[in-house]
Amino acid sequence: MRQAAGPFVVSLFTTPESLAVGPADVSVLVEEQGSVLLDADVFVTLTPEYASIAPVIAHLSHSHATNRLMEDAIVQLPRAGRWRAVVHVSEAGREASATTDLTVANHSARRGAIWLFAVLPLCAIALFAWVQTEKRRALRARMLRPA
Amino acid sequence: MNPELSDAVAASWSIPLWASLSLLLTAIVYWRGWHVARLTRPAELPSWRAGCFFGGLATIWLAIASPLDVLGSWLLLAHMAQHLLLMSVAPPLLLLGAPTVPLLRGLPRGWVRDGLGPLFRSRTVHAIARFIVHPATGWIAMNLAYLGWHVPAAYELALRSPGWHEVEHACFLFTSLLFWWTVVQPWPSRAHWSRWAVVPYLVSADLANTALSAFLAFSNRALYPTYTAAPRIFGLSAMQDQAGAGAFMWVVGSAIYLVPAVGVTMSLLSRRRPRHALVQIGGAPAAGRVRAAQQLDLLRVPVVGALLRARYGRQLLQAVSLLVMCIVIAHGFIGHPMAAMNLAGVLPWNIVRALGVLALLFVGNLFCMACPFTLPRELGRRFGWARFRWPQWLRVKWIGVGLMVVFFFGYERFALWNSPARTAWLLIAYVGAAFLVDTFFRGASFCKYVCPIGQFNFVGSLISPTTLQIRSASTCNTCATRDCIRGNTQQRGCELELYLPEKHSNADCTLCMDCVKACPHDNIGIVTRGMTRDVLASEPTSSLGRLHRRMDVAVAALVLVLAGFANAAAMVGPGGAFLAAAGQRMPWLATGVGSFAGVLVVTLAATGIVWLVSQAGRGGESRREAFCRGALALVPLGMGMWAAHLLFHLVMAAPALLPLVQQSGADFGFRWLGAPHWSAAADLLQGNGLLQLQLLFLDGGLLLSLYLAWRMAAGPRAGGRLLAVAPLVLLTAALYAFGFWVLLQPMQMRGAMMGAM
Repeated sequence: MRQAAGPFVVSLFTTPESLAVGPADVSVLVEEQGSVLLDADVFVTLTPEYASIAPVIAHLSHSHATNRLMEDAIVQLPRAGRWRAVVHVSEAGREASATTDLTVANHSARRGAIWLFAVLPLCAIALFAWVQTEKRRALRARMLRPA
Repeated sequence: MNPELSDAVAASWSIPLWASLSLLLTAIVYWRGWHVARLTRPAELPSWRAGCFFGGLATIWLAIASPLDVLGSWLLLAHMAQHLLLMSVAPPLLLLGAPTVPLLRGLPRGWVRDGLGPLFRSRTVHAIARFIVHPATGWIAMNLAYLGWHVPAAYELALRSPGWHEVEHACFLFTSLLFWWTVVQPWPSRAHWSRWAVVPYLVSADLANTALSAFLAFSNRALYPTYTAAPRIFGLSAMQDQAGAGAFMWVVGSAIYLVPAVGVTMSLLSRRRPRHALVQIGGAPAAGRVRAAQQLDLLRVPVVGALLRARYGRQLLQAVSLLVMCIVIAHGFIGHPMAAMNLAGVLPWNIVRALGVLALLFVGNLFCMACPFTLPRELGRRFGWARFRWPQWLRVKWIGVGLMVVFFFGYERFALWNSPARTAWLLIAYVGAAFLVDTFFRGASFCKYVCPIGQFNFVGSLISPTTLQIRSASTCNTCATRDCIRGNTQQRGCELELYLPEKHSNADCTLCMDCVKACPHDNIGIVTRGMTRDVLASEPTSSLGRLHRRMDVAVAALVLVLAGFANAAAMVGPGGAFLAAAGQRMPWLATGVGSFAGVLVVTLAATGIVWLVSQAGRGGESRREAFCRGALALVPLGMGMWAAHLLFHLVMAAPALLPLVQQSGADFGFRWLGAPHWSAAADLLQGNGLLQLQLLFLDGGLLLSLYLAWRMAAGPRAGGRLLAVAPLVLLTAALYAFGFWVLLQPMQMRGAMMGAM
């Protein structure tokens, strides 16, 4: 999301790419007239659209961010579904907020996407072991065969 | 249909990543094998067979990627057309391509000989294969799948769940392949039953099709509730749609069964064709031609080969990359301070680095080929000051290895990815260093002994699928001039001192093409080879000797592997938190000297661990050799981790290239490029596709590393070999598990401008 909010331009980045239940990285870049603001106070409020659970509120800071131009926090998303993200920015007495919607997938969607890749090496190893066994059996049979 | 609706339908292509990649890979393997097999079997593999096979693959792709797939959830008729393509069009086309031999010949020979060969000799496998291709199995499997999936409960399940929908399609395709196997009887398979049996085989299958079609066409209620609830966008009611689908299956499906039945009958009644005579290939030894055809030579590929062999081909590539680098440096100084909005923050770290690693895994050392740092040295050489030979005691990789450690440390410590200005200074320093070293020292001393990127690429290229090598040993045996290394009046020889007939590895090769241009016999090519060859080879390679005795190369390999995991771990939340906590507990560790000392300690500790675990697999070789082999065996896993990690940056950064170029244009005063529209940068891979690709790279690295460990372990008996290889396997598995965990963590947005939400 990149939105003009009052005097600021707010960019919100989240990973993983397909948000899923569990930890998520939230980074915000605040700009004003083309230059990056480094001393803005940034909160993100994440509210699930239909569930009756408390919103997730995170205070973002530069100290958490590996990219020091950004403010960052790791949040825990407890439930799948549509979430509304509101980024509150305040700097030198000025305040503004930007809003966007996020879709959070459930655990099973993520598990379904990756289980095959965890099992794949095991299948390949099993196949390799079978091939090696067959090779040894063939070799033994050749050695036992009368000349 | 109104024009807006038809436009929307026409635009509703949904390209499935994995299925498309699989089909593409199958096409490549078939094409390669068809070329090879055709040399000895031209009568059995005419061109039309290849056309049929590719037509079959294209049909599958159309069925699953075209708007038919999207429309299938609204219109039963569209869904039936999709099923018809998967069951009755694609399978016979694929089998008409006689795919068995081309697909086997298209795979690397070692895989077939050592991997599949023992399976093909297994009695169990023979029994399973006989059962699978038996006509009764094919007929029952296809009709069970066909009728079973049209039961409303199963059909609704497939409509509701994308996963089950894919299972349904896979069932249709594979059971139909078994069914059509008996009808087409692809070469070189043999029929189980008389050919006459094919006629009732087809007619009876048509009876099942007719029964289902008639049931759909004449039913007085809608069988599938989803279609009743679906929007009727084409003006067809659910009942009309169902009746239409039944009629379509009846008419077209019956034709597909009955036309081949008539064809088979006609061919059986006509005069029997003579058996093909064995094809003689006039005078040429077929085996030699087959071997040559199996190796793809990049220098013989049109356009690419001509460019690489052209006198100034490499210089042209270098000039382009040098120009880009100059723009990057300038933008690093004057552009936007936000790394994601600056060419110096994105291009070197997120694009070029990722492309370089992917090139190493899929082609070869293309980064060194187009290296911008070494072009300015050509200017320095014109001064004639390059009179010194690189000192003998420095003719090892330790300087390069040390600089690799410094480079990776500096990247994190000084947040180079986050500072365009520092990146610009680093690039200038790099060009300066290359210029100074190669202006005063002969040969390519900078590339060979100093450049940390070069050392990374040399180690990575050990598992590249291509290599620069001679085409014919006999030509080299009779060559008196050895221009490839000595050079001639027109062209210098290899500056890295690699004598091509004795070059058995990619190490130290920058693909500069000097030897190719110098060879008067046109006897050098860039050919495909097995990815494990360099690491497994025991013969000495030119200029480096035996890789298994080179501690410096082994430590370079370890640094590559460690840095791959450390670099990725440092950018995920828990990794950053761990480093921050360590810095708080031990403040001295947060200082520059302290953190560098920490990196050195970790590197030494890792070296010690690999030393210990690799000793178990030691046979008659020395401890040093065992360590070197163990370290080299980990290279594929390290490269897999690098590829997985950098792919993330590439996928995130690539869509932002256009606004980035516009931003740089604006910063340089070229406003005609337009204002950057950052939020238009959409992600390249939606959903979990990126994560799956990352995991696939890591899986590939793991399997290749385990294979290398197995091959290099001493011990003739399986039990002994297992014990010998176990410690290294455990270490490899632990690294893989760590990498898997890292990839599942939310990665922080670093230098890349990510897509808009």
